Amino acid sequence: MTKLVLPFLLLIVAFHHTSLSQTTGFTLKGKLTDAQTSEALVGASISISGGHKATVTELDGSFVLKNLSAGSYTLHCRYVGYKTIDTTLTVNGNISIAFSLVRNSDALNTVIVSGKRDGSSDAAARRTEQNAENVMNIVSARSIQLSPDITVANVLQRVSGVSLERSSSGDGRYAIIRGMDQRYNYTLINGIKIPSPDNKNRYVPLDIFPADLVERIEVNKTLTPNMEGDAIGGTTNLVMRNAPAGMYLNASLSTGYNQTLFDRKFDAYPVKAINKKSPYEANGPDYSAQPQDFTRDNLNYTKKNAAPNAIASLAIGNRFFNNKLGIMLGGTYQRTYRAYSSIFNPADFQEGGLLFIKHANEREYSTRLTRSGFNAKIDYNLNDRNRISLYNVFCMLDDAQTRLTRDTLQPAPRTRPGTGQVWYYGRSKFQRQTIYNSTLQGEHVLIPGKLNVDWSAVYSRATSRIPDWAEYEYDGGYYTDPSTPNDPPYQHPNVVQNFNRSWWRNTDRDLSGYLNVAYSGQVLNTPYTLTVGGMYRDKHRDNHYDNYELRPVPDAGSTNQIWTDIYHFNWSVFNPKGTPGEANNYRSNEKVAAGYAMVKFRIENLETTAGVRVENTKQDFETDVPITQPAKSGTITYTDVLPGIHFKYILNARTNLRLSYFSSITRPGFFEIVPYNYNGDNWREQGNPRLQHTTANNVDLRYEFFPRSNEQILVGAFYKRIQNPIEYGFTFTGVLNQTVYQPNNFGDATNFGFEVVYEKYFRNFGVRANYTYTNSSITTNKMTSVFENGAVKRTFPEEKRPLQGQSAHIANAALIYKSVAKGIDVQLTWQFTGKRIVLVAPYYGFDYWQKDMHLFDLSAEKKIFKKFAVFTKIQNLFNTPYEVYVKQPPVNAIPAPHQDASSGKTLTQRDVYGQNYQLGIRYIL
Amino acid sequence: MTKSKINICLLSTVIAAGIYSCTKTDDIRISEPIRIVGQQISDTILPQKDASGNAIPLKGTMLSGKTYHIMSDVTINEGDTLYLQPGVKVLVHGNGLSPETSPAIYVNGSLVSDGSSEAENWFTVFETPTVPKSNPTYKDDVVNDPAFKGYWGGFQCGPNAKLLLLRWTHIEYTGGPWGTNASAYGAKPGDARFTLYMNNTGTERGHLIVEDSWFYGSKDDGIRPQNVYMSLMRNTFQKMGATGGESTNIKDGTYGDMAYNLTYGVATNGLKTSGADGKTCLVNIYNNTLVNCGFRQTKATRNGSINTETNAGGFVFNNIIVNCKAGLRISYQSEKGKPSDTLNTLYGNNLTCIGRGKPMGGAEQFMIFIEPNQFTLKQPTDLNSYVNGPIAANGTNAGTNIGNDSLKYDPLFVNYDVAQNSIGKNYRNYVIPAGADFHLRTGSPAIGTGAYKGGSGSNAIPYKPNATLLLQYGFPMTKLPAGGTFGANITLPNRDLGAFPTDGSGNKHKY
Repeated sequence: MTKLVLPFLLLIVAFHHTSLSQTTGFTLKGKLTDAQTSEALVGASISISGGHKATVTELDGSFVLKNLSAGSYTLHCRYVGYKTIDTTLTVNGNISIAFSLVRNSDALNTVIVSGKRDGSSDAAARRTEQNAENVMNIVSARSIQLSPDITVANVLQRVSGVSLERSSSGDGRYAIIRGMDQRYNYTLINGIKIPSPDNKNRYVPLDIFPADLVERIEVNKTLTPNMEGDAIGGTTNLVMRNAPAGMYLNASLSTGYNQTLFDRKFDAYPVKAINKKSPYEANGPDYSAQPQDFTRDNLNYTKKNAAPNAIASLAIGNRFFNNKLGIMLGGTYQRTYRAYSSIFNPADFQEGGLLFIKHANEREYSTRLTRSGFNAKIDYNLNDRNRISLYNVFCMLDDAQTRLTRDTLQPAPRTRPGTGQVWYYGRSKFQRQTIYNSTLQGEHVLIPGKLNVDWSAVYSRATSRIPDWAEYEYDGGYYTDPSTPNDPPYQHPNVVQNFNRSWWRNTDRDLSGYLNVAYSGQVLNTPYTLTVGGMYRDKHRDNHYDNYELRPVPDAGSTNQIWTDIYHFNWSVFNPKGTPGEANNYRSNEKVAAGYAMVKFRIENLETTAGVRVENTKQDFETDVPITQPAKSGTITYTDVLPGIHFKYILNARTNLRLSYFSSITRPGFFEIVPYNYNGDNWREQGNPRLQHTTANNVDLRYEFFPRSNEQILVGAFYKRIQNPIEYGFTFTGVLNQTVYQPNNFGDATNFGFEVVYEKYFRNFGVRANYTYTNSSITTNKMTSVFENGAVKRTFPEEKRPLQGQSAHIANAALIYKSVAKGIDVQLTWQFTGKRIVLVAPYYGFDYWQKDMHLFDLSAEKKIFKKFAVFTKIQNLFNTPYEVYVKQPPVNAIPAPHQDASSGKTLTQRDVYGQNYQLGIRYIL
Repeated sequence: MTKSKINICLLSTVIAAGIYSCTKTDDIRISEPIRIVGQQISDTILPQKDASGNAIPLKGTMLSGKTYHIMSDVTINEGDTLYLQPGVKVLVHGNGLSPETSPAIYVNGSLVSDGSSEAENWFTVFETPTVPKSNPTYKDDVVNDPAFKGYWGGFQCGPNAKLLLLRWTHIEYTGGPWGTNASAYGAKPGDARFTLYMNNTGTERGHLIVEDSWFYGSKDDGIRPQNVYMSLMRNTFQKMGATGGESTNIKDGTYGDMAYNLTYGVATNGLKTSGADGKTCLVNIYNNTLVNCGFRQTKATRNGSINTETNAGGFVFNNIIVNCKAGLRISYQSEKGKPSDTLNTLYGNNLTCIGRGKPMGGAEQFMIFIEPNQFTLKQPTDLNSYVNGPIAANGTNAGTNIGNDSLKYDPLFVNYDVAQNSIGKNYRNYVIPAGADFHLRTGSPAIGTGAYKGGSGSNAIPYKPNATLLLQYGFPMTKLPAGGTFGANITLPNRDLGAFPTDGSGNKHKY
């Protein structure tokens, strides 16, 4: 560590004598700041001897001590990570003072980051943002704790420019950064990219991570050359808790309930009854599955009162052996029950571009999520110059979901409301996703102040299993007798249908190595840091899929089977050998080798980081199709040279102006290049091994003003030009112009916008707000039809649209009340996601748009006793529905349910989740 | 800022921007399929294997009087032709339990099975104690009837198949599941294979000619063409589709004729045509006889005799429909279908008979003349007991079926008593009774009520001047070469209805 001797400083700026006659009842007002950055320090403890008075600094660093008698006092000011102040002051009137604290250590110029600073505070987060080389937003652990969110995904929506793609339960799953969906972003844990449990793609579902586990979340919107180059939107880095400076213990226990479950029962099935292995997996490829190989209990639903949610987290850490060894352990367990309902009316295409609702689904979901996470960080300082650390994290998400559907067919035999064919479905889906990462890291100062080296050796593994995904179906409904159509309808018997049982599993394993060497020198009196480094990753994916079709055996003397219950369902196995060779059985490898050189220097007030990264990608796939077929396997190789230059013009200590340029890429999804080929009713769907990867040029401009700690104004603008984005559209084969729907490169896309972040605190109150405008556009071909010369004809007009998931307007606001003295934190948040495409349709004018959505959440925390706090969180305060529409009305002759004819739109989906309540207690040492 | 320092900044910017242009396009290498040259057939045990154990594709001639055994999947390469002389028997060794044990014939070139009325050809299963054949005692027993076991995989055509011609040929026991090669045929492993699948996604439409042939037993659909010119004439279908499936399920891009076919006891529709969004399927459906169809479909609303859906059109005339779940349907909307191409559809002179008295619903399955709320209207030349209702704005018709008109339009077959075969659950019988004769007796309402060339009044083939496609393609069509060994032998529409007109033309099969 550099031996910077920073002045131990106490700076009293002003004494104001306001009265000379009084001897008691004086007030001491003060403001506390960081000596180096002038940021306000929040929550520092202030006490004075004699009067036994104590307080803590508020959101703006201010504090007040009242009713002081005249006299001399010793003032103690303590703040974690800073040198304590003991000083003497004389009170003989109302006083205002301002003083600043000096950090215990200064980490800015060293590789070894001191473990003594509390990196989890908001102020620390702002500092990192300000000092970062690139454009970054940070959410601190403290704001995560105080936020209403229990998963990392939901936390992210509070960050400017970030919106979420939600799972069916309404929880966020993927981050959309500046209108660029998950395809264009990647996820890191402690700066190390992690693999995905998704069976087709490379993006990581963020709802797998319990929010409690992380120290902070960093969203990077620009890439420097030392970062992996495959993000165009940005990256999400989950920084897990570091070993603390001293004993640390933070534990919480809470419970909660979902409003819907107050209103109705939970449809439960025994997860244990699920066969973990398919008949194929259990018995090998020669086995012929028998009807009794398939379980029934997992499709038998009972209505239960859901247990209250159980959420617990524990983080414990300390340093040992003369502070050489640091250990931090964390664990989180969340078991939550949810129930929600959904209507789903998919838009059917009718010739001439008309929209018809054929199916009106009403679905009731019951889902139990069990989320657990463990992390362990051990670091060992061999000496001043060398540190080794080992980091392990394991996260697991179990999702046990029941979906009961009632689907009313809108065309014939429906003759009027209350009649029609009705399908009834019961679906059980259990999915277990895991992510494991183990990183061994070394940091070495070879020549103090000149040459530093750090390296990482990484093993990561992500898995997903969906054993026995099953949905039975029977058809019945209310028909009118065709010979007496005006009589009341009769009930058609419920006839059992074919159904599928499928097993999915996939793993994604990474072995990676990283090496960075940083040299600091001076040229032309300008100090610079030159960093060179490289990484290599060997990824292997394995995807396995088995599907069995079970067909009802007709009842004796009948041609069909009547439904009574799952235990009476008599089925035969249509394909007893399973589905080897199905396209979802594939293996994929990816070897990425990258190297970079980056120089950082500062000339007067202009800090420049410039460099170039070279990434070589070798991706392959192998399928189980026989050798007599084309494209059994394939290899794709490419090299990208990715320059980047980032200017930070430091106008003054509180203001930065940044300008960045970087180029980056996005790689095709693993399944997109597999040559799958499904013959749909209207076209074939095919994989595309000839996909080109996507490249982009990105420019960012940002003005940053940090008036005080916890206070910031950011104004930024960005422009992206994206070459060869991968979108789904039509291509044509043969002279007959056969239509194939597949992922492809459809020319270029652009994306630009601006964002504003504003935070301000007035003693106990604070406001955080951000707004992002995004405008992206891409043009792909769509299908529609026209009648021409007496015959119908397909046409493929081009349709220009925003990227999927991009809202023009995203806004967040949080109203914060914080009384350090009373130990109260209250936060009311508003999150707004403007209308956006949630599903790109293959048909012209059929894209699915999510309506503007306002979500309100409330959280509050109150300290009780000395080290305890009680807290509560209410999500979705006003039970906001998630609504999706298509921008044209349905042409149904018999009105389809839930439609508003005057709107000129078709409501295709409406999900209602209900509020979620959480109440808990936290212990902090 | 000094000049030199500014220069450093500028220089690094220029370098960065300059390097960027180096990105090249991706180097993509995709594996090629193994190519094995086809060989003339020189053995009766097929396929022969090459030194590495790969099956050698078939080409050349299968000789009259010989029996060939197919032990595993065989292929006819693109550009090659396999020709079966009259009187060839092909026995497929399969059990339908797995893709590997249900061999299929992959036609990437041409296959011509040139049977004749004197010397029929056969593609059937090799019978063993564990692979028994069906027999006529299985009449309504889909669970146990070996006809539905799908012992082998049928004929599966590649994207550039040129010609598949079956003449006086028996095709039996097809439908085993797809295996690892499914995706090349747009299917998924585990799906049922159709008896005959031809989808030309390559350079030109394939030619599909099936005439005077017998189809007996299939697991799912029988003939399923897409993007072909076809002629399906004078064939017999029975026991097609176990619990779903059609004798013929004609898809988009297909132009041709289906005529003089007898479909008996088929799971869903006897004959179905369906285009795709924005894509036509134009098929003339005439002089067919459909009996007992539509009762093994587990989905309640999938019609049951002749069904045109989603942009399908053509001339639909002279058909006899007896005891099917529903009569002709020109679909507006259904569970599967979207509107037919009504502009390019002309229909009439069809007879629909329901042999079971009222009630037509209740404990037994419904049987109706015309499904209401579709486009179908009773034409003045039709023989059925549907009363047209008002026509809605979308063109559909809410008419009424008259429940009492049981046996009103009995076509009076020579030897098939409709009344007798309507008793109890006989309507579900799916095997043609021995000795049945679907020719028309004197006095049959089907005699002389057909539309035919040169007919006048109600016997005239209607003319629709704005039906571009009908005018362009004609009735019957002429897209296939006519006559000879490699052409289609087309029988014109008759003045009588059904597949067995009194003049003895039409279907020549005896049962």
